Amino acid sequence: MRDEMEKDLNDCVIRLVKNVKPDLNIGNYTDTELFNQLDSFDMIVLVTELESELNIKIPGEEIRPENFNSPATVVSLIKNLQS
Amino acid sequence: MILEYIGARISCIETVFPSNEIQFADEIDNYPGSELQSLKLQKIFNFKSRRLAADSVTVSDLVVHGFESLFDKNNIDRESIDGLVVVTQTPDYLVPGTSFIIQGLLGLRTDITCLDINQGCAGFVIGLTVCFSLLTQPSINRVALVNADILSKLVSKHDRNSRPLIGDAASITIVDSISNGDLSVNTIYGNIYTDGSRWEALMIPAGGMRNRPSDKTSKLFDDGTGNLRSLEHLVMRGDAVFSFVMETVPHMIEGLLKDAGIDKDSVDKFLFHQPNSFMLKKLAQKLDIDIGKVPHSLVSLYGNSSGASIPAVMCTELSTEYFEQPRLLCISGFGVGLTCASLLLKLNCTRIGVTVYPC
Repeated sequence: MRDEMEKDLNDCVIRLVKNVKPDLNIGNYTDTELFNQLDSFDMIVLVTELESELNIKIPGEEIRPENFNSPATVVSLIKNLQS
Repeated sequence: MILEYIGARISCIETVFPSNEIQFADEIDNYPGSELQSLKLQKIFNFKSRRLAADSVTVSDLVVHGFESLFDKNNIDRESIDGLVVVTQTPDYLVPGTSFIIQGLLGLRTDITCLDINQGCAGFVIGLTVCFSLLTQPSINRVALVNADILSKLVSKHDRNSRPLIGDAASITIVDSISNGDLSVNTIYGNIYTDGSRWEALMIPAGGMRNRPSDKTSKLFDDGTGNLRSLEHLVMRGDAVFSFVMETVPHMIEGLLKDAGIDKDSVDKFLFHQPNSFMLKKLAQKLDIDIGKVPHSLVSLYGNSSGASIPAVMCTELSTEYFEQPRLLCISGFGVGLTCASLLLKLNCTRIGVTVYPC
């Protein structure tokens, strides 16, 4: 059940990243490269979409590279915020 | 370190905007990515219009126009100006400083101090602290602070990261000494944080003495995210600036309030530099202050005008009537340097206005 929820969250993050930057091959960015592919406005769009879709508030101090290095780090951030 | 100033007040502020108004849609074709992506950005940031000076217009043009308007509206004699502090990153010339040009064009007295400061988004606060210090001289009773930038000339039209934010403006603030009444009631508190190790986060790489302008430095290149700019254009590492603001500004403001012994709820308005509405909302969240106390529409309607943004937001979102009674303001500018500078001060009977420079 927990794995399934995490997979749904991961799929959601990937879908929203692709909304922000459609030409991004997200499968290639599983480590530390995702953040470098997004400019600061892309990041803000992504944060806004995550907040709206998941009904969360991402505090400003959490909007930093290490939390957006890969879909996995974004999922981890969201899980922390939800808990 | 807490800074304290006694015996100074802001009497009036005039902001000058160029008449030339650009809509977000006018430049959308220049930006990388799809139109849909740009429209999404427009919605999130509420981008509407910006004011941009014509190519031939310089800082001194806007400022001299603004001074004449301020003198007329407020019945101020130019002979009463004892000092002129000009804060700009876009001077008319490398040499001489723009303050001398403005002094000459306005015909201000020849025995006054003219000073140029290279500062950006913290420039209103930094400039005010210099004015307050000048006013400690017994013979200096009135100092004019100018904050003006025409940054649009230095931002690439193909840089979606910066271009939709930038606007051109100038502001003139008259700071007077006060010598009667209980001066301690009007104590102004301030603090400054400078982290020069992060200077590369907001810079123009070429055009100064380190990298002289050349064919090579004027060539556009892709920065890796689709934005095109040259080395002579402003480059902003948005993530680094954002992190700096979130780490530093709330801490500095909370420290200032604590040192001044003032409760957050007693502050009438928090007037921040205007980078964009997203950042201001996150800042308000972090400080746990009502966004209604944080005017934040300048970027939507006029653009981020660097050091002029705090006086500009005062002049466009507040009014002379608002200042007919004492108002406690917390003002904070942050950006290039990287720097954060804040003040806690009372404004009472301060007259504010807006004038348009035809171009």
